[in-house]
Amino acid sequence: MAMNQMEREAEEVLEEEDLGPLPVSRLEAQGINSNDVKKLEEAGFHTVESVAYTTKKELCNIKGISEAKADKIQAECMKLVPMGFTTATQFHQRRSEIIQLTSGSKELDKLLQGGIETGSITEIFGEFRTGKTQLCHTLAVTCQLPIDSGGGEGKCIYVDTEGTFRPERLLAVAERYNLSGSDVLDNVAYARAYNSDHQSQLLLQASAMMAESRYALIIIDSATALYRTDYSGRGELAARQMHMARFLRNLLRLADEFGVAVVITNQVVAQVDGAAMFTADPKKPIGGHIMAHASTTRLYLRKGRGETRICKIYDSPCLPEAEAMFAINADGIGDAKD
Amino acid sequence: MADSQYLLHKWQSGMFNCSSDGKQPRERLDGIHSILSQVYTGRASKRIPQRAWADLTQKYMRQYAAIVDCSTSSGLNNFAEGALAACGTHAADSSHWKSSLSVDSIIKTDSFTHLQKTSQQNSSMKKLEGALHLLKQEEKLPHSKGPPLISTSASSAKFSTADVPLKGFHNQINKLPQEVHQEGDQRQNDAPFDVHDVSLKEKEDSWSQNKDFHDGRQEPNFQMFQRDNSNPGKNTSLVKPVQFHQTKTFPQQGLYSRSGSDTFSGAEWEGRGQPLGTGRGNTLAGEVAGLTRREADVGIWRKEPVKRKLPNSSGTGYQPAFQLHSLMTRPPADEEEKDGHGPNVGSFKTARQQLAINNQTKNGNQARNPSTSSYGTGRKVLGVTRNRRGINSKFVPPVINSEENNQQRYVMSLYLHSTSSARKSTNQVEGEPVDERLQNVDPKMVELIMNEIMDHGPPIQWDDIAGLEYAKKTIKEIVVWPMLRPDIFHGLRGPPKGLLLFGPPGTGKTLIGKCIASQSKSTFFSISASSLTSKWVGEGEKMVRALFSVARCYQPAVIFIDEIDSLLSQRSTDEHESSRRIKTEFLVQLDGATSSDDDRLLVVGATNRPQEIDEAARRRLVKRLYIPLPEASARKQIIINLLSQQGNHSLTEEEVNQICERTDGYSGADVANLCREAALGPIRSLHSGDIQHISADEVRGISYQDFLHAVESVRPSVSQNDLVVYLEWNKSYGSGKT
Repeated sequence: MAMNQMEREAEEVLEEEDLGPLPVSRLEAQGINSNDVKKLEEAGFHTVESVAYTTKKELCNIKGISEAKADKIQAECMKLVPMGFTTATQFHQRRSEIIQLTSGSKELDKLLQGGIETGSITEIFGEFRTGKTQLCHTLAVTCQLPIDSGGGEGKCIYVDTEGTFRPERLLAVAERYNLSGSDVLDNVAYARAYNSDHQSQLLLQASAMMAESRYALIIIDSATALYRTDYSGRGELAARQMHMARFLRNLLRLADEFGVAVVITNQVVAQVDGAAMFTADPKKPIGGHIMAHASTTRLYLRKGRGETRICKIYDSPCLPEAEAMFAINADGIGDAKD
Repeated sequence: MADSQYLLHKWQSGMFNCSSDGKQPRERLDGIHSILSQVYTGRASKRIPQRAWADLTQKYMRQYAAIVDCSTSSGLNNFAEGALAACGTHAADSSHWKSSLSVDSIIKTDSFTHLQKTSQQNSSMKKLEGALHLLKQEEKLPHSKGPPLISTSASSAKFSTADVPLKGFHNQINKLPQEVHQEGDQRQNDAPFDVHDVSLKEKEDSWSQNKDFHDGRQEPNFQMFQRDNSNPGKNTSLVKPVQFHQTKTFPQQGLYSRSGSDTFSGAEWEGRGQPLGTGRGNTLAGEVAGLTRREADVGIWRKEPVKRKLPNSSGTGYQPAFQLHSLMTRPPADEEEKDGHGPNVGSFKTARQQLAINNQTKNGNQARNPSTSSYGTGRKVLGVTRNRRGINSKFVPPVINSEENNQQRYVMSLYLHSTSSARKSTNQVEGEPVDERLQNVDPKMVELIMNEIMDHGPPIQWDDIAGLEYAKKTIKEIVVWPMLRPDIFHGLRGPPKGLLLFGPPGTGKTLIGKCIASQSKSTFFSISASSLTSKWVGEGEKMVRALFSVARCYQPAVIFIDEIDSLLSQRSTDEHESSRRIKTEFLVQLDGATSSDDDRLLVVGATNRPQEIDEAARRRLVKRLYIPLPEASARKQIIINLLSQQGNHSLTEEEVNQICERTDGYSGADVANLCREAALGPIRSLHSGDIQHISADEVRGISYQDFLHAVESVRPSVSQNDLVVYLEWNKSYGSGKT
C-alpha cells in the first residue's frame, strides 16, 4: 500500500506537473492557519504526504496542535493525497513507469530487472570486501544520470557510519559516465553518523533537505554498524531492535513521501554454533527480523575470483532467486570480464 | 501454617533484595515493593499495630525514594538527569567558590617537582614555565570563564568565546612532549588506587601527573569530586583529564587546526559530566562490564572515559577514534554560514566539501612556506560566490560540455520545480558576463525571449531563392561580409542597423529572413507582435527592451520582425496608448541614446504595406529593399526546383519556358501553388478506387497537360494596380534598383 501511495503520488505529480511531493505550505490554500503550518514544519513534517501518512497521535504530539486541529489537518491532507483503493491495472501501469537506478553493471541490472527500485528499501549485505561500499559509491553517481540513461536525475544523500566515504571514487565513476566531477560532488550530500541516535537524527535533517530539492537516492552505509556496538548484550536487545525499527520505519516513510530509492548496507554475523556447521556459507545478516521485514529487497554479495563479486537475491517480492556476477573496477561497479 | 511460612519467606526475600548492595536497583525496588505490600496487607488485616506499620512504611518509602531519586545514574526516575549533569559540571554553585587547587599548591606537590626535574632535561621546560605563567594569568581571570565551556550544547561559537584566554597556552600545551604524559601514566600504574577511598589529594596528584594546566577546566572536575564525596562508595572515578597531547591525531581530521584542542576538550567535559558523577562500576579494576543500560543510554562518548581508566600501557595511544571524530568533524563556522546551516555536529555537507577536507588532511597540516606559486592558484574566493553550491542547492545535472551545459541546465530548470527555481537557474544559465547587463530585465522576460531564438529550421541556401539578385547581393553585403571582415566593416563602412524588405505578398521576404537565419552565423531572433504584447500595462515596452538587451548580449544578432507594419504603423492620436509606447520604445532601442555604434545588431523587417510604416521607423530602417514579383527566369527556376524535388515529370525545357510565359504576373507563391495543382493532376486522373491500392512509384509523372489545367485554376494573387503603390514608394524611399 505504501508503494501504491507512492505511485499515486507520482501520477498525480505528472498530471499536475507538480514534480515531487507537495510542500506543506500547500495546506494554507486549503484553509489551515499558517501558524499551524509553521508548527508542522518545525516538527519535521515538510510535505503534505508526511502529514497524511502519520497517525493522529503523532500530530497531537506536536505542541500547539490540538486534537480537533489535528483532525482538520489530516482531513485536508487526505483530500490532497490519494490514500484509497485503486485497481491493479492502474497500479501495474504505474509500476511499469517506476524509475530504476542502474548499478553500473549490466548483469546486475538484469538480475534486478532494471536496477535499484525507487520508492523502496534495498538492503545489501555481505561480509567485508564484497563491494557494498563500492556499489554505494557507484549508485551515488548513477542516480544523477538522466532517466533515459538509467539514472534518477536527482541528488543523493549519503550517510556514512564507518568512515568509508571517498569522494575520489565518486570522481572516478563520474569520469566513466562523462559527467562533470565537481557537479557530481555537489549533488551528493554527505554526513557522518557517530552513534545510532545521531543516525536517526540525520534522517530528520534529510527530510528537511529533501523537501527543498530533488533527491533520488538515500544511502545509509551501513545501517547496522553502530547498533552493534551501541547496544550490547541480551538485555539491550529489545531496545536496539526498537530503535532500529523506528529508524527503518522513518526510512520507509522517506521512500514513500519523496519516492527516492533507499539503499542500506548491512553487516553479517558468523554462525558459530553447530547448527550452521553444515550449511555452505554460515553467515547471516544482522538485525534480525526487524531488518528482514523492513527491507523490500535484500541482496547478498559474496566474493568471487579476483575482482569479481557475486550477487544473489536473498529476498524480493517479485524477483526470483538468482545470481549475477559483477566486478569492482577502478571506475566503480562494472561487468565482469571473463 | 504454610500461609505464614510463605509470608515469612516473602518477607525474607524482600529484605534480602532490598538491602543487598550488589543487587540492581530494580531488584531492590522490587524487594521494597514486596515488603511494602506485605505491610499493607498486614495493616489491612489488622495484624500489625498501627504505629508499627506507620514506621515501617515510612522507612521503606524513604529507602525507595533514595534509590529511585538518587542523583547518580543508578537512580531510575532520574528525570533531572540532564539538568543535574549540566549543573554537576558547573562551578556555578557560588560565585565565591574558589578552587583550592591553585598553581602554588600544584607546584608544591612532589609529583610536579619530580616532573620538573625530568623535564628539565627536555627543552619543554620553558614551555612548561610558559604554561604555568599563563596559568597564573588565567587564575586572575574570573571563574565565570570556566562554565561556558561546559555547556551541553556543542556549538562551536560558545567554545570560541570561552577559549580566547586559554588559546595561547593550548598551543603550547599541545606541544608538550609525549614523555610528560607517559610519565604520568607510569606513575598512575605504579600507584594503584583504592577505589573506595578517594581522597582529594590523590586526585590532585593524578591531575598534576597529567599536566592539565587548564585551570578553568580543572575546577569543575574537582568540584564534582567534592560533591560526590558526600555519597560514599559511589564515586570512584579517576578519569584522566583531557589528553591534550593527543592532538597529533587532530591533523588527520584537519578541520580543527585552529581550535581543535579547545573544542575537543570542551566537549570532552560535556561527555564526562555524567560518568564522573555516576561512578557506578567505574573502577580501575575493570568493572567496566558493570555498565547498566542507563549508562548505555548516556551515549557512547560518555562511556569512553570509563574504558580509558583501565591501566593500559597502551592507554596513552588509545584514544577512542570516533570520539575525536565526533568533535573533529564539526564543520567550522564559516563553512556553515555558507551552507546556511546552524553549527550541528555532523551535519550534512556536500561530497565536494568532504573531498576538500580529506585532501587537506592528506596533505597534512604542516606549515608550508607560501611561495608565489601558491598564491592565486586556489579556486576559492573571498566572500561567498554566487555559484558556490551548498547542500541545499537544487539538483544540477552534471553534464560536462559547457555550451550544452547552459542549454541543458536551462532545460532541466524548466523541467524541475517552480518558477522560482527556474529563475534561479536561468540566472546561472546566462553566464557571468551577461548577467550584469541583464540585471535590470525581468528574468521571466529573458526566458521568453530566449525561447524565441530560432534554433535553425531547415537550412536554406542562398540558391534556394530564385531571382532577387540585387536583394541577395545587398543582404550579403550587410549581413555576411561584416562578420567575415569586421576590421574592414567598421566606422563608415559599418553595417546598417535596419533593413526593410517590402513588396507584394508571396515574393520571398520571409524566405530571405529564414535564409539569413541559417546563413549568417549569428543569433537569430524571430519576433512577431504576439511575443511583444501583453495584457499588463507597461509589459510591452519592457519586452522590447528585454529583447534588445538580450540581443546585445548575444552579438552579433539578427532580429527578424515579420509584418512589421503591425508593430510600427504611423503614430496617430487615436491609437491605443500601449501600442504607442511599444513603438516609441522600439525606436529608442533601434537608434536612441543608449545604443552604440559598435553593437552588431541588425533588425530586419518584412512588410506588405510600407506606406504605413511610421516615418521615424522608416528612417531607422536604413536599407529598404523592394522585393518584386519574379521575372520569367526566376519563375523558371522555381518551377524547375520544385519539379526536381517532386520526382518524375515529363516536361521539356521548351514546355517550361512556355509555362513561364503563361504565368506572367504570378508571384513566387503563386507559382508554387501552380506546381502543387499540377502535381495533383496525375492523382486526379486515377480512378477513385485505385487510390487505395496503388503504390507511390506507379503514379504517373507530371505532364505539361497538368500544368495547363492548373494554370486555369490558379490565378495570380497580385494585380498590377497594387504594384503601383510599391513602385511609388520604392521610388521615394527605396534604396536601389528593383
